[in-house]
Amino acid sequence: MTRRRSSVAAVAVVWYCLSGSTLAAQVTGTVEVGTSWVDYEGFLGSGAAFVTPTLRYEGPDVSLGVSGSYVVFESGSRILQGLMAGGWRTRLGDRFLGELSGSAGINSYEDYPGYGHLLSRARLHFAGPRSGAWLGAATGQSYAGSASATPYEIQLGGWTVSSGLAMGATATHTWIAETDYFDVLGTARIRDRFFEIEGSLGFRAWGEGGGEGVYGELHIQVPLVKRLTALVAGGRYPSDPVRGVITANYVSAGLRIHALTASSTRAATLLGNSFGTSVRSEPPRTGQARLTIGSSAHSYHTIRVEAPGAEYVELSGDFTDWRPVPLVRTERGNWELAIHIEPGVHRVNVRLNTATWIVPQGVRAEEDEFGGRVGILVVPER
Amino acid sequence: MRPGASQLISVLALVAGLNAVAVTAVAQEPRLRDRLLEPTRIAVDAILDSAHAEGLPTEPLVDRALEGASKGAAGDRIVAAVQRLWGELRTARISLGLGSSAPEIVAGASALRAGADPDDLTRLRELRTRQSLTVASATLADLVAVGVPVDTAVAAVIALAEGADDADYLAFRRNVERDIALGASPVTALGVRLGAAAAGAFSNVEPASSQGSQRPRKP
Repeated sequence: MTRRRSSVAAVAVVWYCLSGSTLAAQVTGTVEVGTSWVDYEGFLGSGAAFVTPTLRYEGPDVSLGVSGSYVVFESGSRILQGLMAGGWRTRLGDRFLGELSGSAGINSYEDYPGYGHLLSRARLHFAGPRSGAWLGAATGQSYAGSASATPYEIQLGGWTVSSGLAMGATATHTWIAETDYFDVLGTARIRDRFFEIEGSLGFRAWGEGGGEGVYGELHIQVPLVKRLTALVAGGRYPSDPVRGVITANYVSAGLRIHALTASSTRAATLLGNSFGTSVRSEPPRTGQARLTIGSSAHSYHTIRVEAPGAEYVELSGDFTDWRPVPLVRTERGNWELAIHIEPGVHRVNVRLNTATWIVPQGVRAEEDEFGGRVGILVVPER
Repeated sequence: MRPGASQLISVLALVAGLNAVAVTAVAQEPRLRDRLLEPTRIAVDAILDSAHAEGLPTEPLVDRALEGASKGAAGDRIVAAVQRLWGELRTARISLGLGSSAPEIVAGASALRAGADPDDLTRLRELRTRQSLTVASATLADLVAVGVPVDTAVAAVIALAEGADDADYLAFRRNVERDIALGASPVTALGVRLGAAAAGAFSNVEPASSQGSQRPRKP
């Protein structure tokens, strides 16, 4: 769930709660299918096809949802994503509303290490009949393969609504590991019987390591027939280190099939609109093993490969005359080999369970001129 | 025409184009004997002989041929890869100077392949006359590989050239890659880390633990 989506969700929650909506609890299920063109920063653009099933429960005080996404790129590479989210709201006097929510997400790309996050969020809303504001904070854990970090986020938001137009703005500062960044985002949503348009425009600045610049997205939904809505979206979204997302430009077109109910629910949900953003995932560049090298005496080095779950690990490189050499299992999924390696730049591949030779994480990957890829290992002089 | 005959002809054509010694005079690299088909081995040996005559390191050329063999590449592809590397080694050696070590030349060739200009290597050598260029050149190639534009990467590596040792370069590269993995754009990550290095903060550019114990300004 991005901040934009959560911001819109919060606007919607307050909007409906304070406008006297007495929507009964309902369950909706949708499936979105379509195609995208996405250009991750630093990568070549690629076409993709996606299918995104979503199941939501909306109660007066509780929202729950689960969403998945299966994306296939032109290359045949696939991303599988899953997201669960839930929220609970309660009134605190006449003008205040408390909200607690949480989300858990994971995405995996082929058989490479995946990203995941567990986040909890608390917000205190001050709400008038047509406008309001909130102050919130979030924390949890972000995972990238076997590494993890604890993110922190504080956010100030405001919203206003009038005759079919809802507008909101947020200012968010996020810290994760050594990276921090500040985002300002404005959103507007217009809805009538024939269409719904949501636009956002924001900028990132005043941080370290999180990038900076302007971004924005536009989502258009047009109901076609009962249980079928056409969807078009595009724009540029910023990186999200908390959820393992890198900056990208994209355009998408597709259909939403209302499988469980055709009725429109609240203006937004805690899951948000997954359409157009289902390809928000970083395509990992290396394999599911991680290689590290330690030094020992007389140019002998210990090569360690972290490969949890592997039954057999081999290494082949210029320092083995490109003959496979088995590694020895140590503990907790680690495999090691002590070998003579001269200082310099070396080329290496790793193979798990006698499958394909791969480039492990921890070394640079480049084309090997033989139709595959090879890892570049640098051994400094002592 | 049979594939074997076609391969033989193409390989022999490459040999003829090497401007090298006669095939009969080529020394045989024993490690290639059982790994390459005869026409391929003859062509690679001819390249090795020429490289040796030029004073270039031949080990990386042998390694490249062995890599191709281990990956089941066709003979003409192996010869082409070895020939290309030979040219890169030659250019790197000219750029880095005749006194350069074999690891420096190999790293320089890697940087050239990544997009660096030969003049960049010469400039790097001028700035680091007493230190090895192996890690600096490899860092340049690594930065380009993670998405840093070549000119920017060259400028960064040269900016660090006078004060950084190999450990600094490795830490610098590791932190840039880490920032990128966390979502920073390559140029931004490079700028931030370069700024830290310029401030004399090499000791602070080591990555924080994954638990964020060195995280600044926690709210």
